[in-house]
Amino acid sequence: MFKQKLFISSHAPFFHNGASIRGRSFNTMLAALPAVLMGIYQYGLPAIAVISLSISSALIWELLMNLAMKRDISIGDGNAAVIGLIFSMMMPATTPWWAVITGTLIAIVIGKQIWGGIGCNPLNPALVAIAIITIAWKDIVDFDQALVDYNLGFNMIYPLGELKRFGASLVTNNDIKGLFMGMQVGGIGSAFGLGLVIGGVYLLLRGMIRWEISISFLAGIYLTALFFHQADPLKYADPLFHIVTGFTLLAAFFLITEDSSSPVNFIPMILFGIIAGVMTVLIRNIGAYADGTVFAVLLMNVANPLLDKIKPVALGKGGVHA
Amino acid sequence: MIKKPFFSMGAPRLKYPVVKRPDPGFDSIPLPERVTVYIKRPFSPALEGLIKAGERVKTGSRLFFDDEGSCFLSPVTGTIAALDAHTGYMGIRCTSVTIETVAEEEVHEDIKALSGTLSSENAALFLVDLPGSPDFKSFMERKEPYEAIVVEGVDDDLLVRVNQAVLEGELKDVLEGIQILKRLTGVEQVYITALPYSSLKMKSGDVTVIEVSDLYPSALPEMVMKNKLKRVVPAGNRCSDSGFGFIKAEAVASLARLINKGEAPVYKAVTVIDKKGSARNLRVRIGTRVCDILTHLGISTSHGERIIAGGPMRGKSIYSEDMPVLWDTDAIMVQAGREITPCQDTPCINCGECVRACPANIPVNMLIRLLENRLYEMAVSEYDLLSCIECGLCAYVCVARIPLFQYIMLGKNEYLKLKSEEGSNV
Repeated sequence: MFKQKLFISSHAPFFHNGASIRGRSFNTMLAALPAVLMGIYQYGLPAIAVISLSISSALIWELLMNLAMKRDISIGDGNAAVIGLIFSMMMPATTPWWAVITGTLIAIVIGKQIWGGIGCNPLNPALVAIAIITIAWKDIVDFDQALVDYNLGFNMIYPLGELKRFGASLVTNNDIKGLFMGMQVGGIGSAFGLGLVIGGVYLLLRGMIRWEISISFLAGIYLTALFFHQADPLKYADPLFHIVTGFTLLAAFFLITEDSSSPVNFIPMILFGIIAGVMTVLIRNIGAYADGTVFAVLLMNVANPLLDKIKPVALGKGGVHA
Repeated sequence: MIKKPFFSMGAPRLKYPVVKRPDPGFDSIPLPERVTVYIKRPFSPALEGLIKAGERVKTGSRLFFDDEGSCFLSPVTGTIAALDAHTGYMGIRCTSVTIETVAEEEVHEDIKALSGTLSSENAALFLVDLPGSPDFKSFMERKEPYEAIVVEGVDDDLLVRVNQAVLEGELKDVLEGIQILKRLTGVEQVYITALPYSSLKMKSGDVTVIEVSDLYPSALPEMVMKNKLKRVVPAGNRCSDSGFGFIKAEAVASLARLINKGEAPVYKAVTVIDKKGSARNLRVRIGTRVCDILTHLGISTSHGERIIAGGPMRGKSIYSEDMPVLWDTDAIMVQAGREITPCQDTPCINCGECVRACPANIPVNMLIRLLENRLYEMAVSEYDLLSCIECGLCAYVCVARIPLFQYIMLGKNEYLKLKSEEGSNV
């Protein structure tokens, strides 16, 4: 009996395509690197400090929550690190240390763990954190104020703030190409559009994010902004301006595509993206905040379970045949 | 193991294996010292009264195991050595019957006489066990004959190429078997499924070749029905309920050999897949234990590996090398320990890979949430549990490595149990 070979017995299938949560997290971080490196290049050591503190504190909060909730240690799957990284990408390089730690606390604890951990969060954790910080300490995420000591050789006025206050005709930093190449004030990892697009396309092609959501989000923004712009070009900015400023590209490839808080069926994904895009521009153009991305995406996160009820007819359902 | 390609956006593209032409055919192995078969009756004293240890049996003897005439054909000549309880898939209680073989084989006279006296009635009596495990009773005892019979010339799992090889190498038997089937059942229309590169390109009269795509799972009966015959099987029904009888090419060929040549249907073709993934076809006696096959082929196994009766997507892992090849075992697969991806206890992360992969359009991401919480009735009514065609692709692609297929099979099983209990309470 003791010499008996023990075979591993489990249910089919016995093949697996090798995908894992850890791999997904790793690739998301890899895809974020171009934009992050640009942020570090522009803002130097303070940016590294914010990113490092954000990732490490996110991991520590995750670990503490695992221990407190007596569950398996889940920091190895990298999801907490991704949340920390994406949170830091949205913050200015001068964010004080306590705000970073508070932000990751909100993201990990309120955004993710109290719902049951990975996969159970109804809202994007990083966005929950940034939303609460925007409301509670709005000066911290006021990029003009936060980055006042920096002069990076381009127009150091937050483009969306300028748009909100003065209207499109008076925006001084309206060189779309320059904005896309990162010549704008913003979060550490949210200003370099080209880097975000490179990372996003990488994730799309590898099947790590769902292209339907990203593309329809950008389409929603473009079309809504186009209508506004056509109605009053002096007041409302060019659609491309909306695409390359603020958190738009970061949201399109890293925020709105967060697995747990977004739908998976085709029509819901398209609706989800488009409505989030529409909401973003509505908030930017007629709402209270300069950048509506955060609240638009959060709003659609809440609508996700309802949207995902629109599902295709399963095989053998519907009663048309046989 | 087939890994995900570096760039991949949609559903996985897994291809069926293609037999080389000319197909080398089937190797054989020496007759084992003992064979074991499992019969679908719980082990009981009454059963011991019907099948007695020590009884001598001939190849093809009918061994009855209940009073309603259910029986199986002894695959060897020899002595019944032992009966024992065995628990099968989903906790089905079976009995294992072990028969010790003797060298000089005797085929039972009823088998030899069958071809002369072939009629629908005694066919049903004898054709209880054909390799490939067709539901022959349903073929014979239907009130109305099937609308059509579909002979499966493509195996329903990856790496397995039993029926393909039969179709390539034993086409004559298959065609003869089809004629016998038609005579017995009165069905006019017969289809054969084949891969696009198959040498089978014919449409001779009443036999039509259906070319199925080489992408898994297009050869599964429900997919053939939907894509090729344009008849969708309602969720929870089988193809036979829609009037289509599916039968493996191997079963048809052995039917022809039984009737025309008096050969007892006691051999099963299996594809043996070793740890490197290379496959070869064997024809073994039904009841041959897996260890006999692996020893003959020189495939060693060790602690922590996995042995699978069946293919990689739909097979069943077995916990002992002493388990036998049965009528429905199309393959024996050995997986090295490093090839095994363990399942994890992570909640669904809602990535949607399973939804993209599912050929039956099931919202697997929602279904799994219900199944994990044992809400089986809601899973059936709202999230299409019964539409599942059991291909295993959802669990193959699952990023969180949830045993999705297992949850689905458990859910189906529990739901049916629940329904039958409700039925008996009314």
